[in-house]
Amino acid sequence: MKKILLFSFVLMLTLLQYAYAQSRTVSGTVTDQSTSQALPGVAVIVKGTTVGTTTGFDGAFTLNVPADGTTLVFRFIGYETIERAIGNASTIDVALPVDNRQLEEVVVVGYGTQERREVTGATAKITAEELEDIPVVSVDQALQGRAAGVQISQNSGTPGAGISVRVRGATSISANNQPLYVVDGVPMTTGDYSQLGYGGQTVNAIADLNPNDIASIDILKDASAAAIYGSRAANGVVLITTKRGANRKTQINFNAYGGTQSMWKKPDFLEADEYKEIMVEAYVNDAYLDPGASFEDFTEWYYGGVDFDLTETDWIDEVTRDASIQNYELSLSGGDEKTRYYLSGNYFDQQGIIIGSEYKRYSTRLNLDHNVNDKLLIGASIQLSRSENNRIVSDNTLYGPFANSLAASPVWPVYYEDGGYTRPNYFYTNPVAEGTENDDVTTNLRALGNIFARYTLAKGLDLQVKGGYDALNIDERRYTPTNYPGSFATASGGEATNATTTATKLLLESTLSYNKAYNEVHNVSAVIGTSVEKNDLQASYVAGQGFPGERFRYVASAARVNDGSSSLTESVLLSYFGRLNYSFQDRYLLGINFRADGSSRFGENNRFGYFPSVSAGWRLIEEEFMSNIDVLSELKLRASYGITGNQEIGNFSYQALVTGANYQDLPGIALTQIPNPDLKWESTSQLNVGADMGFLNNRINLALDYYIKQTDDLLFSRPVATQNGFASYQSNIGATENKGFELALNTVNIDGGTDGFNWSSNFNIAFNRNKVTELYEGQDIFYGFGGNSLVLREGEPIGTFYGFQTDGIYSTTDEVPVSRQEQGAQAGDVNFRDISGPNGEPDGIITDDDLTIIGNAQPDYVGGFTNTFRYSGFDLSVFLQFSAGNQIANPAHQYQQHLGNDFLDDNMLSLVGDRWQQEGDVTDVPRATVDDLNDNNRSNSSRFIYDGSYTRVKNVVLGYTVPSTVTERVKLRSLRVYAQAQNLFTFTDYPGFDPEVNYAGTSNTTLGVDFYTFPQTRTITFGVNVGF
Amino acid sequence: MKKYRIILIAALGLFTFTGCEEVLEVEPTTAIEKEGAVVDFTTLDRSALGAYSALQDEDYYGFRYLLYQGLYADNLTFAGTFTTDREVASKRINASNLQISSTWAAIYTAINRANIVIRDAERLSGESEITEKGRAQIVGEMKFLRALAHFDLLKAFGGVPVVTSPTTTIGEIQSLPRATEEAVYAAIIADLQDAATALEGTEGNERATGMAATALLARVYLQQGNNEAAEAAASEVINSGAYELVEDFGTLFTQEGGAEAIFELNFTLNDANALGTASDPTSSGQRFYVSEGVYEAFSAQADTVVIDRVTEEGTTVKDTTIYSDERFEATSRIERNRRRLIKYDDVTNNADNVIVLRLAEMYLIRAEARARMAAAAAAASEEVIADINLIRERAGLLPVEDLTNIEALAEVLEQRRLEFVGEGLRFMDLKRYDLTCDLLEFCEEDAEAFRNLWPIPLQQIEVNPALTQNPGY
Repeated sequence: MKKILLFSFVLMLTLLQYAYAQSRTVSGTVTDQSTSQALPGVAVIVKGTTVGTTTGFDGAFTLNVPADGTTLVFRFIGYETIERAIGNASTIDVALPVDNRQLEEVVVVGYGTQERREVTGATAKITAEELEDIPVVSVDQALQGRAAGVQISQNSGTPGAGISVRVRGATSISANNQPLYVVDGVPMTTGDYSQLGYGGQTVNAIADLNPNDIASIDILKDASAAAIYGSRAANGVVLITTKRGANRKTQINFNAYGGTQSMWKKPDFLEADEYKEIMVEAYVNDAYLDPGASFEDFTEWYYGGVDFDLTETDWIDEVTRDASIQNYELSLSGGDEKTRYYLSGNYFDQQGIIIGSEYKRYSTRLNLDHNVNDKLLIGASIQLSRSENNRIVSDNTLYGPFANSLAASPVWPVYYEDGGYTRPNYFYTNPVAEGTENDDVTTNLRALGNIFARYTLAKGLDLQVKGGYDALNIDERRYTPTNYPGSFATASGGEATNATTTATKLLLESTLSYNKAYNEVHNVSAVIGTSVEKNDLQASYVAGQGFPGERFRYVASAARVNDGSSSLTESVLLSYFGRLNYSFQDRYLLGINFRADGSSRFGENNRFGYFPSVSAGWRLIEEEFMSNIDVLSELKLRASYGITGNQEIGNFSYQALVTGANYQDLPGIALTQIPNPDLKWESTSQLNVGADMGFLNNRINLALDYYIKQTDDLLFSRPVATQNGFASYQSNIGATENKGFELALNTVNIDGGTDGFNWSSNFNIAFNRNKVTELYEGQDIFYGFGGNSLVLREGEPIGTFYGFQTDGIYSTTDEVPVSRQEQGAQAGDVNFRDISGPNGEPDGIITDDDLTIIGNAQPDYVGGFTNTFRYSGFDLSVFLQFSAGNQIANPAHQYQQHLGNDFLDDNMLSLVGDRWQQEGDVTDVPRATVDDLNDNNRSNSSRFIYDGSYTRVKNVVLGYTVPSTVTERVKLRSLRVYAQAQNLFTFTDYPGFDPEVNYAGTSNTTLGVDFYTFPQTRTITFGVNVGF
Repeated sequence: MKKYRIILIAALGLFTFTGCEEVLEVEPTTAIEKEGAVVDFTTLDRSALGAYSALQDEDYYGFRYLLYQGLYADNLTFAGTFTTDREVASKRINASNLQISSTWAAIYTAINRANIVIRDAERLSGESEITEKGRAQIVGEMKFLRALAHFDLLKAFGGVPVVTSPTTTIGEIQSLPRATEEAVYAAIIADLQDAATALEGTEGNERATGMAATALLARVYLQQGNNEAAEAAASEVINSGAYELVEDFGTLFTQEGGAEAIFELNFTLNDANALGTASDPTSSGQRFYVSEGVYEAFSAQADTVVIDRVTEEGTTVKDTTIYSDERFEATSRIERNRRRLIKYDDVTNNADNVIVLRLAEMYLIRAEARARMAAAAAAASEEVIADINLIRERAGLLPVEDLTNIEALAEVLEQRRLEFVGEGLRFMDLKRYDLTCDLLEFCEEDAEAFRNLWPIPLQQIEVNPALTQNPGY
């Protein structure tokens, strides 16, 4: 391996040429044509040679021109390239016009950058301007709807919670589907390292990164772009570049916003009188109470009487609030020719709309670059942050304030007259108490940074050494008192836990890059490199029980320290990689990427994975035959193919592990894992074809992409008959496929110049078709509530809902088939569809044979549409985001529409007012029954599957920039004020709280399931941007 | 020359840190590789503890399997939201029930661990590693565990695969079919006979002993219908004198490791079970309560005896004594309008021990076996009456007299019900007495008798097509 690399490296070096011709000197200054300001860093090259220099900070250059040199070429990113004949001149001053062609933007790719026209892979770029003003805690949230083919789902309204990001669909079932995040070249620790259970939503390590420090985000979608990240790139790569200083006077920016969040929709629940009526009706129907019974008879039967006066409580109101959000940030950037810096500080504070939840972040960043001499550049990027997250238990839980508020009985008061909490539900606790009395505090300390040195060995040949560090320390404290009835700590006298987790990533990487143009026709750029990355995860916790009172909340005061643990998990990744790009006359483009990853996670028979890719582009616009088609300003065809991997297969999964298994408080051991020495990464091959088009001097830009992404060797717990003492062993079986089409259209609709009316639009849409193509022996995998409300089945997408199809409610007894009556069905019960039986045909009764596919959570298409208007000092941006064709399962409706079933006393959605009550009623809500012999309320039925399509006015920002004539008078560089609304309107038929929902957070396979999930909010903020 | 210098610098830069692939050799810290884990008696004994630990699983004796024996009968009820538990409570278990699947897996995990230990014990050699006595003891204990686990499967599922060789690698994975009930009984009895011999004279009650093996044999023989052998085995345990009935029934569950326990699973804070909270109505969750039927049965036991007594003054007064069942208040009490099971009530540490075998059962086994061997209508023998009355009188009840054998059998069943609520015997008893039709509505004429056996977990039939489903599912 090493020898091959070394050999190719020597080859590259021999290609180097040196020109030592001697002759005259030409000097001059380069300026921006529109502002007349000096332009530093402009490349000045003698055409047809490799002789050249760059301009200094004052825009000046001096160049020795060989005798045969006739023309100077001036190149600078973002400007048009200008050629000037030298003639006899000794001074040549040039004013470079800004290049209006947006395609010339610089695209960040793995271990380098490219200009947009050179790119042959599928990438998407989001710039700082698109992200600013938006009140989000983490950057992934702000990406929603911005890039074609990047599906982002917020899952819940929990502050600081994990966000699902799917680049071109989900590839994996049991590994990971989130993309790799790389911040300034260093892979970032992402995911959830919480040791305590919170019911559903995870925390998001990306939230430690201040979104306002980000200059741009590039998303590598296809294999050619991503393959250089090898075994971690199967789900795409998100490259985050933070802001850096520039050679200019110090600029100070102050940004602040503040506002409120509120629930944008509140489904109707029953009022007390309706609730009483239905409960009594159910108990009378099944003869637990006599006809004519009162609600007091019910409380006597059910609770043995109640010790308060019946009242009416709106529990959702009791646990929700209008919550504040605020953000303050100050940044300084500037520098001189040798040293440049960016320094920022940020404070972000978001209350949750559910009582007890709040997220705060303090962060600071310093990015520094220093030219030691003209060959050596050193730099550092360092962020420190601390976040404090007051969490609440939510979703699938018996102890969540929001979940319990939906379940609490409306006839109970919050407090007894003496001020003590009630317990307003037989199975759950007081929601107000859960949101008020418990401590659930998570504090993150994060140090994220890198230092690098880049040494120019020869012109165009740079060696860079980089050290990266990402340390995430999570301190979690939980305290549960006993001062409310039903607290799970009642028996133990109060419980406290303190858990500490430290996830550390160390990266050492060196790269050698080479860029050279030969005769202005052949452009070569290449990178080779190696890196080693070490990840440590240290976890420990201690728990105690028995507290003298609520004022003692730490383990130190526990009567019994009853539980504790500590552990360390390491993993190492050793990599070799390279990239070669070649272009001929800017017309024919070729790219080759390669990476070899050795991972401590892979079995000894498969220690190294190899990930190659190749891509090609043809810029037809440069061809002679296109030269007279004026309407076109860009036309490029692209194609790529490559292989990427997914190494999130867990640590030590391939080994035969013996772990502790104690008895009698004596140390015991037991074999707990069957080894598989062949275990390896999941492998994704992807074919991408695309086209980039520009019309009318690039006022209209269109990018189209079609891809086929095939993932094989899925990490899979291969089932073993459990009579062997094991349920499974880890293996590579199975395949998924994602096929799709993406379109991104950017247009300048009206261009009225600097002070006139301007309107531009960005539209993107993506159609992804996900399907499972191979499973172990073709066997279905069932999971979800009840163990079979979701299924993985060959030919069906991930997130397929499984259950019983329903055909309405039996209106009359005659409608109920006799065979079903024998099963207990009667008029008013749900008519489940009899699909099959033991012999493969309908048998007249409802059994597990009648289970079938009843929906899926995958959307037909998702996208976003932004319109930006400017006039004079005003700017208005309206951003719509949409998802269509996705379905939502709400198994919580078995409880929220229980109608007395199974002795539940939960409150219900008011739609149960339409229940069947007597022979002949035609409705879609079944009768009230306790025994529910027909199992009307089974959670996995199509009754509880809903259309989850939505269109959302995600963000509206209206701003006004104070004219510079005014700001100059008050010594400000710039001043802008704005108002912003998030989730202003949502158009959906979904009857739950929010259609963008998943109780299982960022789960791979459980998608679109709503189960008492913390809803999203409407956020209105007002802000100011001040430049000094 | 310059080129070479550049190459040198670049090569140094590139490869300084990434020289060796040994960095990829990373070992776990909370586990070790199997190789070299068991090398002598000490480590073998630790792996034997690991096998006992498997019995403590929450899907086995640590919670659900144990309570399901009462729930899938008439001793316990369920209140909660889990479909899996509800199916058991309503006695309508689907083959897809994941809890049943987990329980099946947990029991076989215990079997596999025992098999691994047995093989390791046979692999060790030489005095430095193991003595013959040490080997016999470990193998005997593991055979006891293996027999217990197979019997627990048999009670619920009928004939099941009898697994006697370990699975530790992919190559060792087995796909055995179900054995007949007779074959499973034969394997269990063979293991227990081996264990009784190998462990002869061992003491204690938290690990298997020879007497524990004999006691389990008594239970197995009785269930099998081999009353003669059941009587003999039960007598052997009773006559060994190693155990005695504790005077106060309540202390069985408050004082761990008492004189009555033959085999008792030791739970501590560090390997807690979920039994204490399982019936605690003051906190939320899936809850298992004592059935109304048990309450009625306890109440029916109360005897009111009125005696005419002549006082010193010569007048006659009526003395009323109520003989009520002392087991009642040690078994359950009303909390939050629910009938809480308080045999396991350590909600603080969840460290209630679980008694798997105790002496009281041996008396009732012997009485039942003897009554079954005699003519049904004939008067029960004195020995039968005496054994029953030992149990009755310890509970504070009046002795019974003059029962026919059929009445004695009914009395034994009633005493077993009241004695062992929550101890995992009720479903097995109702099957042995052929009462599941009368009491649980598992009747032939309704085509419901198939529910006397649980379904083989659907997933297991898919993974191992050699398994066949119990009829009816």
